[in-house]
Amino acid sequence: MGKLLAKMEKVTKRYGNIVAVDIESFQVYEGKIYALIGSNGSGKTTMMKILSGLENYDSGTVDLSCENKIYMIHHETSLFQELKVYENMFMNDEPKIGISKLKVVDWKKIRERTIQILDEYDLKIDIDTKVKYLSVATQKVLEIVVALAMESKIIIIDEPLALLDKNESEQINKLIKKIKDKGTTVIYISHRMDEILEIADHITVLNKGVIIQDDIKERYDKSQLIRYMVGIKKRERYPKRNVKIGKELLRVENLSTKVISDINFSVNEGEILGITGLRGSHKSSIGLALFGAMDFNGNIYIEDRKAKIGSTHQAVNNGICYIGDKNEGIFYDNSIYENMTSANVKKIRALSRSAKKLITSHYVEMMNITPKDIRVRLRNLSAGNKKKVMLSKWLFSNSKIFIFNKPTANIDVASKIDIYNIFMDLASSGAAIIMISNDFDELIGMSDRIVVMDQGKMVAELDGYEASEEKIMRYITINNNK
Amino acid sequence: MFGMERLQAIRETLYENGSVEVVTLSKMLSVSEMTIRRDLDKLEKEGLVVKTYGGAILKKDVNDENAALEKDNKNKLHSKIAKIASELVEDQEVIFIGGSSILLELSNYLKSKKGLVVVTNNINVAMNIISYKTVKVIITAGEIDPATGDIFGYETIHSLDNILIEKAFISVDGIDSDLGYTTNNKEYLELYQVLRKISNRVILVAEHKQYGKRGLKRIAQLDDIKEVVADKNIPDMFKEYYFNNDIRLYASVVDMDQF
Repeated sequence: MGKLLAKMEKVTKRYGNIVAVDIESFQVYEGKIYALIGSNGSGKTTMMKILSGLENYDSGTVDLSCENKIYMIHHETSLFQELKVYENMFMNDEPKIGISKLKVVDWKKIRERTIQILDEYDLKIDIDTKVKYLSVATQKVLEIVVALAMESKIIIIDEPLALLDKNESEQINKLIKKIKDKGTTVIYISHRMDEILEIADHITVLNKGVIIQDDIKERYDKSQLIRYMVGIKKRERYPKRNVKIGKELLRVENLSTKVISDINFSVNEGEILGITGLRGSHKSSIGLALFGAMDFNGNIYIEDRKAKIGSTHQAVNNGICYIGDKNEGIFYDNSIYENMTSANVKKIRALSRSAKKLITSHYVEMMNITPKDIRVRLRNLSAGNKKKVMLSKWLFSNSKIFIFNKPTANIDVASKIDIYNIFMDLASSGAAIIMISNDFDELIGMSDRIVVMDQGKMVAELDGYEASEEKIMRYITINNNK
Repeated sequence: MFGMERLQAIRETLYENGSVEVVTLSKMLSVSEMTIRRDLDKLEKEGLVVKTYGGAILKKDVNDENAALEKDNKNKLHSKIAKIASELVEDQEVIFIGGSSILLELSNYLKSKKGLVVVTNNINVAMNIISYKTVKVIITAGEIDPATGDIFGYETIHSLDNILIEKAFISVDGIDSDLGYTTNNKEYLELYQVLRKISNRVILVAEHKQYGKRGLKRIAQLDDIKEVVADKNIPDMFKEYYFNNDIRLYASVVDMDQF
């Protein structure tokens, strides 16, 4: 066993009442590859951000005995696309030449150092190329090289293999193995079970911010890992009701955008269709396209008639509405009343002010929105209440096809339950619901059918009741291995 | 006489006679008619009277009106909850329905279910369903409580001996975070134990007023019952408890009938 490089003891972090992480104990030793796994929202990224000093924590201790040479590579790129390879190196610590105040960046040294590191790891990258011309995989490699150039003792990589195909993944894994051989520790967060089993020495499983198993790889078996990765089954708590399924409301044929292609599905009155996929699956694009917020190709049929959805206005007039996770369409500085009556439809424009006020108050009462004063500005409402205001706005304008993107993310539990029950009320009245979500529990608990996306394509369509987290992950894994 | 006393005197006259005249009151109380008119204004603002030409009449249905309105709202609420509960029932099932006002409403929504067998220990529920052609009713043995229509007794438990139930819809008197689910009728304890044994799913049907109340005896802990049908106004803390403990809470939020 090599040297102990870092240690976390009794580290907790909360966001309000929600526990993000509660780590009893976690140790990192020299020259090993650690895999950190867990379902979405399990706290993996937060834990690593705390370890690398990028995030504060509320209690406990984080000890680094590696001279702070710990570097975290995020899922999103941090490279400057317009700069050349060597210009992205040493960003925080450029070697300088000259005398005291007249020091300038020593580009010669930087170039030399860059070539040196690339050679050391057998990487054939032209240091004069602008980053934007490199492939996604090569850019990922480069991010790792940046960490190496800083002489990092621990390199944390968040989902290194997302967006990569089999060959590219192999490349990255080879590099990671080399790094380990040279004495640097790598911690990587991943969903990809096969890769984890191949190169990790040590696997740590997180669930709801807590470590539930922390062991050498040999102590795990594959099916156990799949179960861990997708979380513990929690179907029982979702208030799914029997609802009569009516005629087809929406049919999508050959839908494609810049990032998705060949999407086909339909939703009937009373149905809840779940759409899921990991990061990089571009599932959100489906919602945006259907709402007219994104250019697309393909055919859309509403109640079996071809519909033109060239703008959100047209989408709304076709009875489609979108309630996103980034509070799109919410006017923070406007009141509940103004937000609720903001949909640009004839029905609302035709109403008198007093009628609109009455109806707004009615919705506030019905949806349990607090505070009850319709003059209150949206920025003063909790996330759950904001969402209810948005929902009311669309109910008010008689939408029939509701598209939700991450409907219950970051929302308090009581509001979550209200929202699930609202789904059922809508379905009961003949509306169709499309639920785009990463929360496997809620998808399986509430959907009639689930469309699984991976890297812009549909890889499966499952019946709600036969769906399991295992099955969903398997379809994604199979696609990745193609 | 001071103002307060005068108002009280007018009130008493109203209760006795149902109506008053300004002229009469003014003589009786030795004040000007103007003063009486002002008093009646006050009483009208209180909602006690309606002013008429020359006098006022007692708004005697005030309390009755409120009571009727409250009863109407309660019925509406119970209907909503009952409707959702009825959506959980499928054709060809054997279900149990206990005795309570919400559960009585539930029996109203079972007309369209085919091949249903309803087992009940409440005579009102039984009589309600008996007219449905597609539903069979089985009533438990025992003694009928005339106040509630509930049937209890030694025989009640045993009459359920050979019956297997798919879904048992029950109700309680109180739901408390410490005590759990409680009842005021101790006979219910045994019945509930039996239902637990013979039923595939036990579903509690409740309303927000019951939350926070404490009945005399505990029937079950909060996490013993895995499915609850209620209204959306139950306290947030219970919503959180249910969700975090894998208990389903069916609670309609949006009244879609209005659209």
